[in-house]
Amino acid sequence: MTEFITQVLTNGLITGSSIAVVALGFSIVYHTTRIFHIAYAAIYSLGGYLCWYFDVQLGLGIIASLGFASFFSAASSLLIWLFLYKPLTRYGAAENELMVASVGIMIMIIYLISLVFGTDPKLPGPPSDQLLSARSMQITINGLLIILMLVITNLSDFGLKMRALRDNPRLIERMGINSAALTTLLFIASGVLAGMEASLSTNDLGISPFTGIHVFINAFIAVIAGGSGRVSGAVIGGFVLGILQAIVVFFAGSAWILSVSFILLIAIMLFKPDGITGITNRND
Amino acid sequence: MEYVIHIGIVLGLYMILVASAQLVIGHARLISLGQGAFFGTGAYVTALCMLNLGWSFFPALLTAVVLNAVIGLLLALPAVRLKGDYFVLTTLGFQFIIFQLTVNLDRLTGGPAGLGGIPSPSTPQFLPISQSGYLFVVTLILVIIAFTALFLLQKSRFGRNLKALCDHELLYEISGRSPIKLRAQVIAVSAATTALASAVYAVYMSYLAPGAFNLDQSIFILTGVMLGGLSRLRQAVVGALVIVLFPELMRAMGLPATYGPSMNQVFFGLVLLVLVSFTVVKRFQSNERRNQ
Repeated sequence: MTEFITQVLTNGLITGSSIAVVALGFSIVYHTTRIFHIAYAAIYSLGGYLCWYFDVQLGLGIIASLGFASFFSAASSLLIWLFLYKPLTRYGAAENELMVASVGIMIMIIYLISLVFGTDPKLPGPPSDQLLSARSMQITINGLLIILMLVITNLSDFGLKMRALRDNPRLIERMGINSAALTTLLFIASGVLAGMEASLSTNDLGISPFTGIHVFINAFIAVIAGGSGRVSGAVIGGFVLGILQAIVVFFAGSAWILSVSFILLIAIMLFKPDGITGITNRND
Repeated sequence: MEYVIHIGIVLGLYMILVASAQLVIGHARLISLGQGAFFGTGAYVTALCMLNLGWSFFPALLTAVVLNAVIGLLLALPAVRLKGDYFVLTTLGFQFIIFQLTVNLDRLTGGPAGLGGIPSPSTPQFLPISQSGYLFVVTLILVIIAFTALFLLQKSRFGRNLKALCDHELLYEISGRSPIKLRAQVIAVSAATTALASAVYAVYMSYLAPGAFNLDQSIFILTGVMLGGLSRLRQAVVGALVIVLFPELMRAMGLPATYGPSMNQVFFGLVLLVLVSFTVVKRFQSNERRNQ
């Protein structure tokens, strides 16, 4: 029993914090711009592969690799916003059209990755310290990132502008706030979060081209489960999903992780469509 | 000759697949990333009916169609309650679940090694054609059945309702009809017609592996729909022609086997991007012109 509790708690907290960080990065973009940014999955994969490349292939050490990977993820996120979503939105693209464009860029990035690096999973290099250190680093940085994001979105001026942008993108322009610059910042932040988390998890478990999509599915389920329209919902949803997955892994093995997430998604959609924290978005 | 028949069968299958996907993506305006999974469930149901229950082809096909419709309905009921994004996520999740199920339920599906030895339907005595020739005829008949059904459906009350729903969802709801129900029906119909293609695929390949029904397949079908067009059935034919003949062309040009599939996917991603940008810009320009 104690083994069960310690395993579920440690694994659940690590998986949960990891899902929460990815979900945060997705939700700040999704809730303010309403773009179904599925290319985020590819940005995650890209971050993981870059970290692996810098760390294992070039031997730069995990801290530097993490920095580089985050930088390039942020850059790709920024480029996708500047050269894809922004012009498309300006030309009045519908929600579905943005979605298909996003699917297109996701597929391109993921298969370019598999062209360059091959489709076989890349494992982290021989651990310089103990295995524990990869995971303890992951949970420490995740915790810091989550607290930082919660503080920024709930307490700072920036968070206030973010919520204003979510509630009424037209009005905020009239107030003299540059909403395009704000969105640009959000995309950069989202890229950094994806890159960081991808690097941390690659350092622990390794990466394959499709990891990003799995992680994205979990993250979006966490966003929905946590509650629509609220950034802290992503964190709550992430931890709920993480603990749930840890319980299932303990009893049934890791083959069924995604099925559990999916069942949670269906249950939430059927019984509590507004999510656990449950505020309804004024835009809907 | 065998090659021509092979291309003919594959083309027929993709015509059905693209037309079914077009119903969901074009007419119901729901982006589905799970068409490949529906293709897979149909194929596995057909194969299992024939292998484990010893049924012949046509009853197995019918079972696959009915079961796929049921699966589509079950998947749709929670998913279409909310917005388009949730549907994409659910279908994407469904896609991966089906893949995991086919890999993990190895007693039933043969796991990653796949399911082999699916018998081909026996050619009737009075037909003087080869085995694959007969399958080609079956495919042709199924294409005609699928397209007639989809055509009649679009001309019927159902199709008009669907058009109304897409034009103005709120008005549709106000007039006392349920958008949820209609969308769920669309997905069920699309899954059912998809099963027609999967049944033929199962017996034609005589071997099923999980890898054939993964996300690549869904993207492939989505690209076909977007390339052809979103509204008319003949556009689905064009889309299927392009996506089937393009990889054949690439192969004929002698791209190495390891790069081929990934290369194709990159290309399809690019096609999706360019198509969307093109449509959006063109519509914007024509609106501008109208406003002047």
